[in-house]
Amino acid sequence: MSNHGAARPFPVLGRERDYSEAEFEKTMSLSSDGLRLSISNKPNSVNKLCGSAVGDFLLIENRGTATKIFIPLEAEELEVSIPVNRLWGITSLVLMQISTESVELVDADNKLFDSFFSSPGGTKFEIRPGEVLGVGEPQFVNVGGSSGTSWIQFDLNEGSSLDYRVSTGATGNVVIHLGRDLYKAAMVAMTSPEVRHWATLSLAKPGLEYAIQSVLGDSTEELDEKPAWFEGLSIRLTAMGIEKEEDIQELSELQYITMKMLEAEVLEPLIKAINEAQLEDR
Amino acid sequence: MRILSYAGVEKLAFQLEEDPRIAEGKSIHQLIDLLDLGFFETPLELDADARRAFLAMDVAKTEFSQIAVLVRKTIGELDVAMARDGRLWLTLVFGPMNKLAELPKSGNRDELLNWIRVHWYSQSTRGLFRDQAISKYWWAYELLSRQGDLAVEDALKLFDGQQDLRTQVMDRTSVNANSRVLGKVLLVLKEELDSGWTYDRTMVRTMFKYLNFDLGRRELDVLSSSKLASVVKQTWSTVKASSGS
Repeated sequence: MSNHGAARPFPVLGRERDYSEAEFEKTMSLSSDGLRLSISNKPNSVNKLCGSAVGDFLLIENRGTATKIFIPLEAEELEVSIPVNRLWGITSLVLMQISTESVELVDADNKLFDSFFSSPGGTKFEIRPGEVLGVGEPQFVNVGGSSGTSWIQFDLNEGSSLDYRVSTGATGNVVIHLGRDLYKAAMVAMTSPEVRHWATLSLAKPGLEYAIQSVLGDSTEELDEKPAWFEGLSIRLTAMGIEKEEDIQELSELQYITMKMLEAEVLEPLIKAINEAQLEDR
Repeated sequence: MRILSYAGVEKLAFQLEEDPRIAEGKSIHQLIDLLDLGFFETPLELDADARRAFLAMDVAKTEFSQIAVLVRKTIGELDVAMARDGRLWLTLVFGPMNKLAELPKSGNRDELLNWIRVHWYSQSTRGLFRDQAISKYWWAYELLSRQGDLAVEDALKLFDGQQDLRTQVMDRTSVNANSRVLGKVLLVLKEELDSGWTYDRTMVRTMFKYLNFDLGRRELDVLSSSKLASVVKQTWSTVKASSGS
């Protein structure tokens, strides 16, 4: 039997598809008002293996307000209200299984763990308190942040996870309803500053196209792959004292910066050009 | 209370680019009238008693903790969506707390503009937590009030004369977001200081670095109070041993 101690990836169990025999099997759904979660927290293989040494939690995390709230899940079916007064911008909601005690986990048949770590005679893990043993599918909600007077706003789409649709909001702003996986992609992309910038700009593109179409009527003219305002964005980031990736810790901040750039560098000159063209026509 | 709109914020920035001292000594109402700045009305009202306390305050002789308590009393609790809004904090620069945000007496145009960008116009998480002239006090009170091991006033006193500790706490969102971990850290440091230890920035930074590393691999905030205290004390013991203390 091998003992892999701390030399293992994060988390140990429950990653989707990686551990087909150790499915997470805990789910949550976000109600349409975005404020309540229905959680199904039936025991899974981690609970059976670790017993009371593992706790099930809902993690509500919002980096822009330095907020991490762990809500212990003490029933198999429960409803949870999200405390929105502590949140701003994009907030992630994740079901997690975390060890609260030291525990030795034994997988005699090498069924639960990644085959990379399997060995004849089974696999043994010594788990320290606080280690994450399982992570569920994350959900994301956008609380405030890009709403308000911003001309463009992102919203969670209840439909297919890679889809997006664009509509006009109540105050005449542009609302982009993003699928869950697009939100996820943005969150994953945040680990890399270059990818993060371009991911955000990519998310902004449908809104920009919609806005331009709104101005031009039936025009379907495609945008260039590399927007001309990229240099302008760099200048703006520098002016704001943003020099490294830690300086931007919240996607909404980047959205705001990007949106201001789009307004200043693209839409205003575009509208001005159209107005001038219309004047010349007269 | 009136708060500058995005258009108002941008227009003021444009005017400041022309003359960094154009807003000096002026109230937000005077600026709105003088420069025709956009604004919107909010239900936020500042505490009248606290406003008067700022008039009598000598900022240079007042400890960080006292100012933070007074800023919190003046503004009160905020919905964090509002507390993350740079328009609010820029507007407050031209209110009764303006002593906290006075422009340097000297400096060329570029130096003044750079100062204004950092201390008036900060919008990033780090900027609002650490640099903006007024929001840094409100957010320090907010983050320290979330931990339960020290009274918030006592926790704030740890920042007095120790800007390095404030920087460590406010900069490290991986630690300060875990409010229970933060509470144990502050408790350990307070006990050390109370027993005569002289603040050592290298040791404190090393402890935060270790905890930051640990929090990347473990969710310590879910542990029981005694287990969490044990983890933090063990980390501090490791730091002390390696420093030879």
